[in-house]
Amino acid sequence: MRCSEVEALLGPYHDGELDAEQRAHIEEHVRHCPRCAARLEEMDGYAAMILRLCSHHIPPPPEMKPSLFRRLRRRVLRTLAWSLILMLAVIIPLSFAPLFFRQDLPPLGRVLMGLSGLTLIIALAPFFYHALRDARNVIWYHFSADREEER
Amino acid sequence: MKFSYMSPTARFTFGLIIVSLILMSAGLLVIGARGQHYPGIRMPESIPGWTLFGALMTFILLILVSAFFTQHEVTDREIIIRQGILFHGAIPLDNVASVRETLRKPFGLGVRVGPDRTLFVNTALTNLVVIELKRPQRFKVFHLLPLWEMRRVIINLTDPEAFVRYIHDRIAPPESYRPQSWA
Repeated sequence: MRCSEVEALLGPYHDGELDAEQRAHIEEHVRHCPRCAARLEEMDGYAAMILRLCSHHIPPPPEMKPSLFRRLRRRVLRTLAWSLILMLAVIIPLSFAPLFFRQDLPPLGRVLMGLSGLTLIIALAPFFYHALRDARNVIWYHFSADREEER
Repeated sequence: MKFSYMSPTARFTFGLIIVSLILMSAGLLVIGARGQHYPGIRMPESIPGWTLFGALMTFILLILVSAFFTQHEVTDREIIIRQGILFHGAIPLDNVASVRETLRKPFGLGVRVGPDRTLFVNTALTNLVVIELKRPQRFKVFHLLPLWEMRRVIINLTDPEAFVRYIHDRIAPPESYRPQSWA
Protein backbone atom coordinates (compact mmCIF):
# COMPACT_ATOMS: atom_id res chain seq x y z
CA MET A 1 0.00 0.00 0.00
CA ARG A 2 1.14 3.53 -0.72
CA CYS A 3 1.26 6.29 1.88
CA SER A 4 -1.63 8.17 0.24
CA GLU A 5 -3.85 5.07 0.41
CA VAL A 6 -2.87 4.42 4.02
CA GLU A 7 -3.44 8.03 5.05
CA ALA A 8 -7.00 7.83 3.74
CA LEU A 9 -7.65 4.78 5.91
CA LEU A 10 -5.89 5.93 9.08
CA GLY A 11 -9.03 7.63 10.42
CA PRO A 12 -11.24 4.54 10.08
CA TYR A 13 -8.35 2.41 11.39
CA HIS A 14 -8.05 4.67 14.42
CA ASP A 15 -11.77 4.20 15.06
CA GLY A 16 -11.61 0.41 14.67
CA GLU A 17 -13.89 0.43 11.63
CA LEU A 18 -11.75 -1.62 9.23
CA ASP A 19 -11.94 -5.36 8.66
CA ALA A 20 -9.10 -7.67 9.72
CA GLU A 21 -7.46 -7.74 6.28
CA GLN A 22 -7.39 -3.96 5.91
CA ARG A 23 -6.09 -3.59 9.46
CA ALA A 24 -3.28 -6.04 8.73
CA HIS A 25 -2.30 -4.05 5.59
CA ILE A 26 -2.26 -0.78 7.51
CA GLU A 27 -0.24 -2.27 10.36
CA GLU A 28 2.27 -3.78 7.97
CA HIS A 29 2.71 -0.42 6.28
CA VAL A 30 2.89 1.58 9.51
CA ARG A 31 5.50 -0.83 10.86
CA HIS A 32 7.90 0.19 8.08
CA CYS A 33 6.85 3.78 7.45
CA PRO A 34 7.83 6.26 10.19
CA ARG A 35 5.81 9.01 8.47
CA CYS A 36 2.50 7.14 8.69
CA ALA A 37 3.42 5.77 12.14
CA ALA A 38 3.94 9.33 13.37
CA ARG A 39 0.65 10.43 11.84
CA LEU A 40 -1.26 7.60 13.51
CA GLU A 41 0.47 8.34 16.81
CA GLU A 42 -0.43 12.02 16.62
CA MET A 43 -4.00 11.23 15.59
CA ASP A 44 -4.48 9.01 18.63
CA GLY A 45 -2.77 11.48 20.95
CA TYR A 46 -4.72 14.35 19.41
CA ALA A 47 -8.08 12.64 20.01
CA ALA A 48 -7.09 12.00 23.64
CA MET A 49 -6.03 15.65 23.95
CA ILE A 50 -9.35 16.90 22.54
CA LEU A 51 -11.25 14.78 25.02
CA ARG A 52 -9.14 16.29 27.79
CA LEU A 53 -9.81 19.80 26.47
CA CYS A 54 -13.51 18.94 26.37
CA SER A 55 -13.38 17.91 30.02
CA HIS A 56 -11.81 21.26 30.95
CA HIS A 57 -14.29 23.20 28.77
CA ILE A 58 -11.48 24.73 26.73
CA PRO A 59 -12.65 25.84 23.26
CA PRO A 60 -11.56 23.69 20.30
CA PRO A 61 -8.27 24.47 18.53
CA PRO A 62 -8.99 26.38 15.30
CA GLU A 63 -7.04 23.91 13.12
CA MET A 64 -9.22 21.00 14.24
CA LYS A 65 -10.96 19.34 11.32
CA PRO A 66 -14.67 18.54 11.82
CA SER A 67 -14.16 14.95 10.65
CA LEU A 68 -11.85 14.15 13.56
CA PHE A 69 -14.30 15.64 16.03
CA ARG A 70 -17.20 13.77 14.40
CA ARG A 71 -15.33 10.49 14.84
CA LEU A 72 -14.55 11.34 18.45
CA ARG A 73 -18.19 12.25 19.13
CA ARG A 74 -19.39 9.01 17.54
CA ARG A 75 -16.96 7.03 19.66
CA VAL A 76 -18.01 8.72 22.91
CA LEU A 77 -21.72 8.28 22.22
CA ARG A 78 -21.17 4.64 21.27
CA THR A 79 -19.41 4.05 24.59
CA LEU A 80 -22.31 5.68 26.43
CA ALA A 81 -24.86 3.55 24.56
CA TRP A 82 -22.99 0.32 25.34
CA SER A 83 -22.66 1.34 29.00
CA LEU A 84 -26.41 1.90 29.28
CA ILE A 85 -27.22 -1.33 27.47
CA LEU A 86 -24.88 -3.24 29.78
CA MET A 87 -26.39 -1.63 32.86
CA LEU A 88 -30.05 -1.99 31.89
CA ALA A 89 -29.99 -5.31 30.10
CA VAL A 90 -27.44 -7.33 32.05
CA ILE A 91 -26.34 -6.11 35.46
CA ILE A 92 -29.63 -4.96 36.98
CA PRO A 93 -31.73 -7.99 35.88
CA LEU A 94 -28.98 -10.44 36.87
CA SER A 95 -28.56 -8.82 40.26
CA PHE A 96 -32.12 -8.24 41.32
CA ALA A 97 -34.58 -10.35 39.32
CA PRO A 98 -34.06 -13.57 41.34
CA LEU A 99 -34.68 -11.66 44.57
CA PHE A 100 -38.21 -10.79 43.50
CA PHE A 101 -39.08 -14.06 41.82
CA ARG A 102 -37.68 -16.40 44.47
CA GLN A 103 -39.58 -15.55 47.63
CA ASP A 104 -38.75 -18.99 49.06
CA LEU A 105 -35.07 -18.10 49.59
CA PRO A 106 -34.01 -17.18 53.17
CA PRO A 107 -34.45 -13.43 53.82
CA LEU A 108 -30.85 -12.94 55.04
CA GLY A 109 -29.51 -14.64 51.91
CA ARG A 110 -31.70 -12.47 49.70
CA VAL A 111 -30.59 -9.31 51.52
CA LEU A 112 -26.92 -10.25 51.18
CA MET A 113 -27.28 -11.10 47.48
CA GLY A 114 -29.22 -7.87 46.92
CA LEU A 115 -26.54 -5.83 48.67
CA SER A 116 -23.89 -7.63 46.63
CA GLY A 117 -25.67 -6.67 43.39
CA LEU A 118 -26.15 -3.11 44.58
CA THR A 119 -22.49 -2.80 45.55
CA LEU A 120 -21.47 -4.13 42.15
CA ILE A 121 -23.65 -1.55 40.41
CA ILE A 122 -22.16 1.24 42.55
CA ALA A 123 -18.67 -0.13 41.78
CA LEU A 124 -19.36 0.19 38.08
CA ALA A 125 -20.94 3.62 38.45
CA PRO A 126 -17.71 5.51 37.62
CA PHE A 127 -17.72 3.96 34.14
CA PHE A 128 -21.23 5.25 33.50
CA TYR A 129 -20.30 8.55 35.08
CA HIS A 130 -17.25 8.89 32.80
CA ALA A 131 -19.27 7.87 29.75
CA LEU A 132 -21.98 10.42 30.62
CA ARG A 133 -19.42 13.13 31.41
CA ASP A 134 -17.54 12.55 28.13
CA ALA A 135 -20.82 12.67 26.18
CA ARG A 136 -21.88 15.89 27.95
CA ASN A 137 -18.47 17.50 27.36
CA VAL A 138 -18.34 16.47 23.73
CA ILE A 139 -21.83 17.90 23.16
CA TRP A 140 -20.73 21.12 24.87
CA TYR A 141 -17.64 21.12 22.66
CA HIS A 142 -19.77 20.60 19.56
CA PHE A 143 -21.81 23.74 20.29
CA SER A 144 -18.68 25.60 21.31
CA ALA A 145 -17.12 24.73 17.91
CA ASP A 146 -20.27 26.00 16.17
CA ARG A 147 -19.99 29.29 18.05
CA GLU A 148 -16.33 29.62 17.03
CA GLU A 149 -17.33 29.11 13.39
CA GLU A 150 -20.05 31.76 13.64
CA ARG A 151 -17.49 34.27 14.89
CA MET B 1 10.70 5.08 38.18
CA LYS B 2 7.32 3.72 39.29
CA PHE B 3 3.96 4.67 37.84
CA SER B 4 0.74 3.97 39.69
CA TYR B 5 -2.29 2.61 37.88
CA MET B 6 -4.63 2.64 40.86
CA SER B 7 -6.38 5.99 40.41
CA PRO B 8 -9.03 6.96 42.97
CA THR B 9 -11.67 5.66 40.53
CA ALA B 10 -9.87 2.32 40.19
CA ARG B 11 -9.53 2.05 43.98
CA PHE B 12 -13.24 2.79 44.38
CA THR B 13 -14.22 0.20 41.76
CA PHE B 14 -11.87 -2.53 42.95
CA GLY B 15 -12.74 -1.89 46.59
CA LEU B 16 -16.47 -2.21 45.95
CA ILE B 17 -16.04 -5.28 43.74
CA ILE B 18 -14.20 -6.90 46.66
CA VAL B 19 -17.04 -5.95 49.04
CA SER B 20 -19.58 -7.24 46.51
CA LEU B 21 -17.78 -10.60 46.24
CA ILE B 22 -17.64 -10.97 50.02
CA LEU B 23 -21.37 -10.19 50.32
CA MET B 24 -22.16 -12.60 47.50
CA SER B 25 -20.13 -15.37 49.16
CA ALA B 26 -21.91 -14.76 52.47
CA GLY B 27 -25.30 -14.74 50.71
CA LEU B 28 -24.55 -17.99 48.90
CA LEU B 29 -23.39 -19.56 52.17
CA VAL B 30 -26.63 -18.57 53.92
CA ILE B 31 -28.76 -19.87 51.04
CA GLY B 32 -26.64 -23.02 50.68
CA ALA B 33 -26.84 -23.75 54.43
CA ARG B 34 -30.65 -24.08 54.00
CA GLY B 35 -30.11 -26.61 51.23
CA GLN B 36 -31.39 -24.19 48.59
CA HIS B 37 -29.64 -22.64 45.65
CA TYR B 38 -29.58 -19.18 44.11
CA PRO B 39 -31.12 -19.08 40.61
CA GLY B 40 -28.46 -19.46 37.97
CA ILE B 41 -25.72 -20.50 40.40
CA ARG B 42 -25.04 -24.17 41.04
CA MET B 43 -24.28 -24.54 44.73
CA PRO B 44 -21.75 -27.05 46.08
CA GLU B 45 -23.40 -30.04 47.72
CA SER B 46 -20.49 -31.57 49.63
CA ILE B 47 -17.67 -30.45 51.92
CA PRO B 48 -15.01 -30.79 49.17
CA GLY B 49 -17.33 -28.74 46.93
CA TRP B 50 -17.62 -25.98 49.52
CA THR B 51 -13.85 -26.12 50.11
CA LEU B 52 -13.26 -25.67 46.38
CA PHE B 53 -15.78 -22.81 46.33
CA GLY B 54 -13.98 -21.14 49.28
CA ALA B 55 -10.60 -21.58 47.63
CA LEU B 56 -11.87 -20.12 44.37
CA MET B 57 -13.40 -17.07 46.07
CA THR B 58 -10.20 -16.53 48.09
CA PHE B 59 -8.14 -16.74 44.92
CA ILE B 60 -10.36 -14.19 43.14
CA LEU B 61 -10.17 -11.88 46.16
CA LEU B 62 -6.39 -12.28 46.23
CA ILE B 63 -6.19 -11.23 42.56
CA LEU B 64 -8.24 -8.11 43.30
CA VAL B 65 -6.53 -7.17 46.57
CA SER B 66 -3.00 -7.70 45.23
CA ALA B 67 -3.65 -5.15 42.47
CA PHE B 68 -3.55 -2.45 45.15
CA PHE B 69 0.05 -3.25 46.02
CA THR B 70 1.87 -3.20 42.68
CA GLN B 71 2.81 -0.48 40.21
CA HIS B 72 4.19 -0.29 36.69
CA GLU B 73 7.89 0.50 36.52
CA VAL B 74 10.30 1.87 33.94
CA THR B 75 13.94 0.94 34.37
CA ASP B 76 16.93 1.82 32.20
CA ARG B 77 16.29 -1.18 30.00
CA GLU B 78 12.64 -2.16 30.20
CA ILE B 79 9.06 -1.32 31.04
CA ILE B 80 7.74 -3.65 33.71
CA ILE B 81 3.96 -3.97 33.66
CA ARG B 82 2.32 -5.39 36.76
CA GLN B 83 -1.15 -6.06 38.06
CA GLY B 84 -0.96 -7.84 41.40
CA ILE B 85 -0.48 -11.58 41.17
CA LEU B 86 -2.41 -11.65 37.91
CA PHE B 87 0.15 -10.15 35.60
CA HIS B 88 3.84 -9.39 35.37
CA GLY B 89 5.49 -8.63 32.04
CA ALA B 90 8.66 -6.86 30.95
CA ILE B 91 8.99 -5.06 27.62
CA PRO B 92 12.58 -4.19 26.64
CA LEU B 93 12.83 -0.51 25.72
CA ASP B 94 14.50 -1.44 22.45
CA ASN B 95 11.33 -3.32 21.49
CA VAL B 96 9.10 -0.26 22.02
CA ALA B 97 8.09 1.31 18.71
CA SER B 98 5.98 4.06 20.24
CA VAL B 99 4.01 5.06 23.32
CA ARG B 100 0.96 7.29 23.21
CA GLU B 101 -2.31 8.00 24.94
CA THR B 102 -5.27 6.24 23.41
CA LEU B 103 -9.05 6.24 23.59
CA ARG B 104 -9.31 2.60 22.60
CA LYS B 105 -11.19 0.99 25.46
CA PRO B 106 -11.12 -2.63 26.57
CA PHE B 107 -14.34 -4.42 27.41
CA GLY B 108 -13.84 -4.90 31.13
CA LEU B 109 -11.04 -4.83 33.67
CA GLY B 110 -8.04 -7.03 34.39
CA VAL B 111 -6.00 -8.76 31.69
CA ARG B 112 -7.68 -9.18 28.33
CA VAL B 113 -6.65 -10.08 24.82
CA GLY B 114 -8.32 -7.83 22.27
CA PRO B 115 -8.40 -7.89 18.47
CA ASP B 116 -5.21 -7.33 16.46
CA ARG B 117 -3.11 -9.02 19.15
CA THR B 118 -3.69 -6.25 21.63
CA LEU B 119 -3.13 -7.01 25.30
CA PHE B 120 -5.12 -4.93 27.78
CA VAL B 121 -3.81 -4.72 31.35
CA ASN B 122 -6.13 -2.24 33.00
CA THR B 123 -7.89 -1.41 36.24
CA ALA B 124 -9.90 1.47 34.73
CA LEU B 125 -11.29 2.47 31.35
CA THR B 126 -9.77 5.95 31.34
CA ASN B 127 -6.20 7.33 31.12
CA LEU B 128 -5.15 4.56 28.78
CA VAL B 129 -1.75 4.37 27.11
CA VAL B 130 -0.83 2.12 24.19
CA ILE B 131 2.68 0.67 23.91
CA GLU B 132 3.31 -0.42 20.32
CA LEU B 133 5.95 -3.14 19.99
CA LYS B 134 8.50 -3.43 17.22
CA ARG B 135 8.44 -7.21 17.36
CA PRO B 136 5.55 -9.29 18.71
CA GLN B 137 6.21 -10.45 22.24
CA ARG B 138 4.82 -13.20 24.49
CA PHE B 139 3.47 -12.53 27.98
CA LYS B 140 2.28 -14.75 30.80
CA VAL B 141 -0.55 -14.45 33.29
CA PHE B 142 0.03 -15.65 36.86
CA HIS B 143 3.73 -15.92 35.87
CA LEU B 144 2.74 -19.22 34.32
CA LEU B 145 0.12 -19.31 31.61
CA PRO B 146 1.45 -18.09 28.26
CA LEU B 147 -0.58 -15.81 26.01
CA TRP B 148 -0.29 -15.34 22.28
CA GLU B 149 2.38 -13.07 20.84
CA MET B 150 1.19 -9.49 21.24
CA ARG B 151 1.83 -6.50 19.01
CA ARG B 152 0.75 -3.84 21.48
CA VAL B 153 -0.07 -3.48 25.14
CA ILE B 154 -2.66 -1.04 26.50
CA ILE B 155 -2.41 -0.08 30.16
CA ASN B 156 -4.07 2.53 32.36
CA LEU B 157 -2.12 4.96 34.50
CA THR B 158 -2.89 7.59 37.09
CA ASP B 159 -0.75 10.06 35.16
CA PRO B 160 -0.51 8.93 31.52
CA GLU B 161 1.15 12.13 30.32
CA ALA B 162 4.07 11.72 32.71
CA PHE B 163 4.50 8.10 31.65
CA VAL B 164 4.49 8.95 27.93
CA ARG B 165 6.97 11.80 28.47
CA TYR B 166 9.25 9.57 30.54
CA ILE B 167 9.30 6.85 27.89
CA HIS B 168 9.79 9.36 25.06
CA ASP B 169 12.90 10.59 26.87
CA ARG B 170 14.27 7.06 26.76
CA ILE B 171 13.42 5.85 23.29
CA ALA B 172 14.19 7.44 19.93
CA PRO B 173 11.06 9.37 18.94
CA PRO B 174 9.55 8.60 15.54
CA GLU B 175 10.42 10.88 12.66
CA SER B 176 8.77 14.20 13.37
CA TYR B 177 5.92 14.76 10.97
CA ARG B 178 2.90 16.89 11.49
CA PRO B 179 0.29 16.52 8.80
CA GLN B 180 -1.41 19.56 7.37
CA SER B 181 -4.87 18.28 8.12
CA TRP B 182 -6.56 15.76 10.38
CA ALA B 183 -9.16 14.82 7.82
